[in-house]
Amino acid sequence: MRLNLHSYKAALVTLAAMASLIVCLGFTVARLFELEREFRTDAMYANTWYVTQAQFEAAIFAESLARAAGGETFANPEHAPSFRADILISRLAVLLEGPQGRTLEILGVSSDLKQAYLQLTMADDILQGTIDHEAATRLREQIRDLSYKLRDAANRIVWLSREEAVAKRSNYLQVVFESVAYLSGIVLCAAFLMVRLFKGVQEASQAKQLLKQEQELSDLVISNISNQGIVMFDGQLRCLLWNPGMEDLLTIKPDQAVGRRMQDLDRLFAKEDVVGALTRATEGTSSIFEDESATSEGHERCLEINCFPVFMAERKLGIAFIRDVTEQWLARKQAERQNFDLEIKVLQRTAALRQAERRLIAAINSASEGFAAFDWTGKLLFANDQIWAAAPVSLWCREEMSLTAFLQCFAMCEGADRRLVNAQSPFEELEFDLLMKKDTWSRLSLTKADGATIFVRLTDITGYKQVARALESALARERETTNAYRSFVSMVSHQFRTPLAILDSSAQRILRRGAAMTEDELVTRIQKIRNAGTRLTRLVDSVLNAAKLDAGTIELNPASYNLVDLVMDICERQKEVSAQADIRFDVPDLPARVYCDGMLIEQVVVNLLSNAIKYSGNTPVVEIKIWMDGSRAFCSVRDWGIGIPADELPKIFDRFYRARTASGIAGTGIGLNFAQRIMHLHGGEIQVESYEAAGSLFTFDLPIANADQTQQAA
Amino acid sequence: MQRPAAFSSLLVFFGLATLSHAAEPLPPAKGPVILTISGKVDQTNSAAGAQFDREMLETLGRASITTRSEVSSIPQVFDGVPLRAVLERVGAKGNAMRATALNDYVIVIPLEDLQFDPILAMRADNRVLTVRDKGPLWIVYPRDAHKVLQDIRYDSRWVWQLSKLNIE
Repeated sequence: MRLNLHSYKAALVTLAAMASLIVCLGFTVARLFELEREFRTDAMYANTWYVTQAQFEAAIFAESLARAAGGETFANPEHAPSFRADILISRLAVLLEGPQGRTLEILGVSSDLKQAYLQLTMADDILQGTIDHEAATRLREQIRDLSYKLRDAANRIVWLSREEAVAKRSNYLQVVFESVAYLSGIVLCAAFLMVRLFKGVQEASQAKQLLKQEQELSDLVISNISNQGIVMFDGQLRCLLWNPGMEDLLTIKPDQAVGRRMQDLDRLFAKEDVVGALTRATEGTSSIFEDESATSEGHERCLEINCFPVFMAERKLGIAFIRDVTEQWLARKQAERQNFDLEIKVLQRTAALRQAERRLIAAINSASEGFAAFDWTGKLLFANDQIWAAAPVSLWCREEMSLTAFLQCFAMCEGADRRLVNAQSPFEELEFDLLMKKDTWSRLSLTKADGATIFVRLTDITGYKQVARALESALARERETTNAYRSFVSMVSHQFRTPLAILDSSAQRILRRGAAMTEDELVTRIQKIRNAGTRLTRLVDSVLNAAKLDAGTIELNPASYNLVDLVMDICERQKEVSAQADIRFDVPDLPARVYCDGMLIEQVVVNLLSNAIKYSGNTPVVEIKIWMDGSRAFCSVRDWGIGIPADELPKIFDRFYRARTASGIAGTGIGLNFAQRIMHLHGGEIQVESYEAAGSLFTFDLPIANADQTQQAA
Repeated sequence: MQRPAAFSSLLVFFGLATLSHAAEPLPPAKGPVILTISGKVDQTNSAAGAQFDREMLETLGRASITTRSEVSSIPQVFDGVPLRAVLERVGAKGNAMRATALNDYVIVIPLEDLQFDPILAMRADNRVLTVRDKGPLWIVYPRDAHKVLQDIRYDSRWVWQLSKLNIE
């Protein structure tokens, strides 16, 4: 394409050069022709000549007239005035007509000449006869004037012709310069064309040489390829080229082959399909085929024949490359045989494998466990019935069953976490214990084999889970008991020791002092002993209560009570014990009938009230509030005492637990625990709200007794 | 142009040589002589050479040329005798002829010019030529018909007031 464009441009440039050459040549020739025309007609010289001739005739005529005036007779009629007058008149006529007439008009002498012409014509009569002296003399003078005028005219013409000559010369010069310019253009164009021609010739000779070299090279290649036969042929299948390789193949020498018909050369080329392929090659269709035949020695031989069309020197030819491929052919045949054997083996193995696979699938299907296999991208390979029957799978996952979808089915089961939702290829190995439905636990495990196949197992572990849970609860209970025991021992060592110490010290004092003791002092001591006893009794009671609760031996005997009365009674009694306490009430006027065990609820209220007083210092203020909300009655006990630290609030209902703000104040850590458990037995709960050094608010709730229960109580 | 010109001149020369012998003797001129042919001629009718009056010339043939001339830029119709016929009549044998006019104008005309078939005109625009208007004989070339004749060399061969021809 580029070459084409280039040659196109070169042709254009050459054409342009030729065109400019022709134009230059044309202009030069035209200018030269113009010059030639000017040279051909040179009017000015002729004009001068006409004028001088006329002047001469005038002079001759004058002379003739002079002779006539002298009375001379003329032997030669050509000397007579009448003849001379005719000649002069013809001369004047020439001057007055045509281009010379115009020139004389320009010079301004034509009117004088016309006048002279007229005078001469009129003098004709005088001239025909014998001229008298006077007339001849007069006419002679006129002719002499004419002669002078003609001389002046000649002068002027010369003067004019010189001017014209100058103009003409400058014009010639211009033409010369122009011609030189055009000539140099011609030279340039011609030089350019010559250069192009030279280059063209050079290129052509180079191309020719290259072609020759290529030809030599291809000849060299063709005649030296001995492992491949190359044969060229024309449309009549006449052999044109037969290389040594062909000689090796068919044992026919090139000089025997070239020029003969291919069919006559060898049996190979006489075959119908070979002839067809060769003919098609000359028609422009290439083909490749193999020919199996036996050699003259009887060996098996296979030849590969490649036929191609060749278009050379306007002739449609064909070329065939022939190669001995017997070895490859034999090897291929061998390979084909082996392949066949191999295929049969593969079929047998495949059948065996199928059987094994069927067995395996049957085994997997009959297993109680769910089993599924996925490939590494998460595509389902196999899943047994137990997998399909698993509750989440049967619910969610029938349609598309990729591993991701499969795992997401299980994401809402208890025991699952984000890993199941986010599982993506490549999948990690996983193991989950999942609650499939109520009381049914399964273990979902995902394992990888060979890094490619992913196996999923779904095992029912409900039994195992139940046993584990029983064991766990037993262990927890055991741990709790141990803890309780430890706490109890620690509590006893603190709480029981103090009253015992008081008892002992009081008894020692009484014993030491004996009779020396006053009555008052003895009463005080005994009172102390009694107080210690009471305290011990209380401790023992609470421990026993706790033990009873633990043993589950406390029985609930619910009945309908008026909560207001119940609480008010307890407060009255409490006031007797601790008179310093200021107990305020905020209770409804109407009775609040609740359904509960009165004895136990009394314990709860006593506990809360005594705690409020105990932890409020010297001037305790306690507010008791009772109200009803819906089907429940609420009772709250508020104090403004030491309060409970926020971090210890969750623990205050633990058995034997005591807040750190309570240290130095007697207590077992059983009371609140006991109260809370009583409330739990009633289906209620003690709520606590407390701030350190600001006070506490304990609230418990009970169900309101319905009409039947109320009546029963009544 | 060059080759046929040379060929026809050769033919003319040959023709002149052959026809001259067959011609009858030239009778003497009866009227005023308007043309005298001298030099290498076979036929003569006086001591001066072959002399012609108007009538004798008119019997030799007629030819007509319409052309412009050096002295006239308007085409004129010239009638007269073919020059060739006149020369043949006197048996001219030469290469050129010296033409002399009444006004003593002299010029040598090569006989090759016969190839252009010039005439001796006696009339211009159907008007008899007198001495006053370039008569009585005027050598006229067919100037418009041949480009080569439009040249001062040929223009000077248009001899008017022709009176003598000397064959050389």
